[in-house]
Amino acid sequence: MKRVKLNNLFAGARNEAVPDVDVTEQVMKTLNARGADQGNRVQRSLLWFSVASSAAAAALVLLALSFWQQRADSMNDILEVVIWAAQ
Amino acid sequence: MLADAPPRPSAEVFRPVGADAEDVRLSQNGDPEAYRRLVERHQQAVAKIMWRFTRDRLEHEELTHNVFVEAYMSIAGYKHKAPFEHWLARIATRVGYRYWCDKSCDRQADSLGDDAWQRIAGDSEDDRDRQEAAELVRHLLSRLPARDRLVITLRYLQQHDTEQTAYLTGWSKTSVRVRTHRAMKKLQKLAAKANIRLER
Repeated sequence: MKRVKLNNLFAGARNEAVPDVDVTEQVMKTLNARGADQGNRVQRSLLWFSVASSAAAAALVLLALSFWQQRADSMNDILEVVIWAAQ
Repeated sequence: MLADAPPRPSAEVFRPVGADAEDVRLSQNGDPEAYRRLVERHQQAVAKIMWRFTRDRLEHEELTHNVFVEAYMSIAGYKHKAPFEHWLARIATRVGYRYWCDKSCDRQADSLGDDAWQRIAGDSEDDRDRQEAAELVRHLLSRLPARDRLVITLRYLQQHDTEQTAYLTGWSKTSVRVRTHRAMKKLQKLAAKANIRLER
């Protein structure tokens, strides 16, 4: 069985030259794009929120109107009974 | 820089000094120019770490880029508990580990052929140039699962101690010790199959 010293192998690998990189522009571009996208996302969610709250408000107004109408009808009935009794 | 001063976790709050401190503070307040300066200052050190995870130049550049994008996304959470470059090294380790996990399905293609085993056993250490040694180490470690590969890379290739490895990986010290031991056993077993005895 042949013997290999792992530490020597690792030592050689450790001293290997690493290629130069310059990712600055690329990173800044990605961050700008993400920032713009995030801004759009915030605007879109605000738009959806306003649509949803308008719909809820409209539904509430309709509900209130029908309730008021129902109550108005019963008031008319009572008034009619009172007038009939007074006559 | 990073490789010369391995991270040491500290319970005390660390105050980064000089340019880093100011640029980190400005970046946390959303100043892109300050972050640009941080990238310029630390990209070579990060590139050195990422070179352990891939030797493909394009992927290497992409991984280095990803580290800085991920760091920017988390910079608001940087609590000055460690020097900025150590915090960055931790993110780099996470990005590299994730890359290996994603790549693990390709491990078969990366496996070590008889040829490489012969080169490991055949050449004398003096003759072997650094680049070939690095290539052989990559081949050798690519046979291991991502976790084992990471722990061997940090402990033996980057020469971090157990405490530093635990900080970089987020694992406990006991877990690092156990994983290192198991990974070495696996490596020795793999070599034994090719009739090679790996010694430290």
